[in-house]
Amino acid sequence: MKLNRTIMVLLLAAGALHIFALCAGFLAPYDFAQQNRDLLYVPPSRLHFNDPQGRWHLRPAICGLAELPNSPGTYAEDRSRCLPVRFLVRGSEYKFLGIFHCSRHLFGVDPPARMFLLGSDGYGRDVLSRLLYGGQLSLFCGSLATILSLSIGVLLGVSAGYYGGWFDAVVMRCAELFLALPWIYLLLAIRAFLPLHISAGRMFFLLFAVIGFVGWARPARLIRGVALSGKERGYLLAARGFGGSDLYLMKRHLLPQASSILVTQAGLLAPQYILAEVTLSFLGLGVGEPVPSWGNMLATLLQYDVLVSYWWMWAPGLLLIPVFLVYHALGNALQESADCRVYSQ
Amino acid sequence: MSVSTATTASRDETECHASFLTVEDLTVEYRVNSRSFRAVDGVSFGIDAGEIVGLLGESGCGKTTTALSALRLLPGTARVVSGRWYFRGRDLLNLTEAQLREVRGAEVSVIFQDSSGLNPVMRTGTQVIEVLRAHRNLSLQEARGRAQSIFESLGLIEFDRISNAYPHQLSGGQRQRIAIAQALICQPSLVIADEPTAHVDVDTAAEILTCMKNMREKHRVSFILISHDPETLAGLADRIIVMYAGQVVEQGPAKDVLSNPLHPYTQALLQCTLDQPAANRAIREKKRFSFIPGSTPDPFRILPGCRFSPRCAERMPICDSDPALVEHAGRQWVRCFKYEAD
Repeated sequence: MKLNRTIMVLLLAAGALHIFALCAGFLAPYDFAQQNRDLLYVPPSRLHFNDPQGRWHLRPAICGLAELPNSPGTYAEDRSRCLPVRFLVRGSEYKFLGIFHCSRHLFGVDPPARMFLLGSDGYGRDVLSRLLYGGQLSLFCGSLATILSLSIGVLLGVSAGYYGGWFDAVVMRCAELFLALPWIYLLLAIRAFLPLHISAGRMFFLLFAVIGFVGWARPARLIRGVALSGKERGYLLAARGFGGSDLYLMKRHLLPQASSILVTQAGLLAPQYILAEVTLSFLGLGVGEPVPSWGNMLATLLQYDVLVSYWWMWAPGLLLIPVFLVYHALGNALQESADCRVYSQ
Repeated sequence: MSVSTATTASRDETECHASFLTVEDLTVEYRVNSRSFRAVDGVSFGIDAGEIVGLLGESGCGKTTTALSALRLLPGTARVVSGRWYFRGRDLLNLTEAQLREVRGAEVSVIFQDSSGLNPVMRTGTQVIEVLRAHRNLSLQEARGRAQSIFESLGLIEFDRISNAYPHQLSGGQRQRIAIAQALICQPSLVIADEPTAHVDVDTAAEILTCMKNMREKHRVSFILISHDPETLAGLADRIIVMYAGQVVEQGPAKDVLSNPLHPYTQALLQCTLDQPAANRAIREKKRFSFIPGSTPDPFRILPGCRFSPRCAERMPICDSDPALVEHAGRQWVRCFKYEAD
């Protein structure tokens, strides 16, 4: 497959997002649950390249924080205390990629001081670290759910279009039922049946399975349409006439036609599913504290004072915008290149 | 060749005579908007091993429906009402889907019209090799070798270039040869060729027909050659079956049917073809081309009696009842009252 420059850039961007999330332990300076009860809602630290004497340094530094005496909870930089940023520092232990025990972090400052590049939340936890760990859940839940629902959609869509008759009718009525059901309320009901505390790992699988399973109907309908029109082509008749089995005909002659649709669908579904996970966690149906997901991080914005006073708590919501754009653009670009390949031949 | 093999071959031939392929009383109906019509009505014929039989008739007369019903390749609206396709002692219409899959492409194969049988987004070599690999347990390398030899025997010499090309990158004649390669690569004993020369120019058509003739001589393949053009059949077919409105109206040895047509429809059809003297005469005298007046009957409204009678110049009162297929002069069979008297 020949990739043009746009696709390369977009693929790199999407890949980088996922790699950042995977390497959250290394990139995040602190553990997602590490609290600092004396540093609540600290604004993002500013990086300085000049020391108090005005000399320029290559190594960035942050300044110590001092709580303003007449208004507790507000902080100002104490420019006399300069804390250089150290790289590859030892810190809290984590499992790199979930396998290797590790305690090196990409950057940090000498303890007991703390650096919060994206501020801290109501428990004094580092928002940047929580954002990175939360991405593990939200991003991968979205992409795995996309794979799951596209697989179910392809399986049911192609076979429904190919076999037709009562099977087609049953599958398509089911698809319409799935599209018509008010899922958010059903999920609330399902959540009510489950035990209150579920481990984060289990919750992750539950979320991606539910989101992926619920979403099969839309791709299935599209792919059924492709299979339905492809079924009438002469080469399908010919392949059958030369002894091709049903499975062969579907796999070799119908599925390739649906590939460009699959790619666009993936580009559209992945952000939708990320948003679905964010919504569910926001409503308290997803993973619970202290494990972060972009959804339950946004849930703190339900408190009015947080919403208006601490703008850095919006970070997960703002991050969703470039994530969605990358996915949509990637889906579009891949579809265009797939169509161009078909037409230019 | 020793004498003994020659005699067994001839004995086989006499045994095969009835048993290679027999079509009996084939009737196929199509259902359109809850109305049905008979596209094929009581067609019977037989084919010997290594024989080329031409099915001749206008479009819509049931040639393709007859042929494709053998492998159950008809669309979902079609239904075989009655009839049998006895092929080497088995009725093809009674096979299970799995048994039929082993017959399709390997024992009975189809050459599809034009390149409609080729997938536009798959390399032609792959499409030929996949037919072979569906039936024979061969490695990719062996399969490629077989494909190369059949490509070369069909006159496609640049194997690497052609097998790596997509169908649209090839000429119409090359595509048609690929379709023939697909049909012949498993060395079937019966090939149904559905208008293999319909969309190629005259000299390519001649080459393709020569290819088919060579294949018949080399591998004793039988062909059912479907065509609307008597000239295509003239050089190739051993026997010709003329169909009109779903019925066989005349059949016999090719040279008899073409030189001495009995049925008024066959006569009219042959008059429409432009042989060289006729074309010259038409140009010289600025004459209109000859055609058969009227049109084929509406399949939903088939009236009793001879189906050609509304267009027939020699119509008689008796033509309102159904004529039977009768033997004439020991060679030809014809469905016309003109020949029933004697």
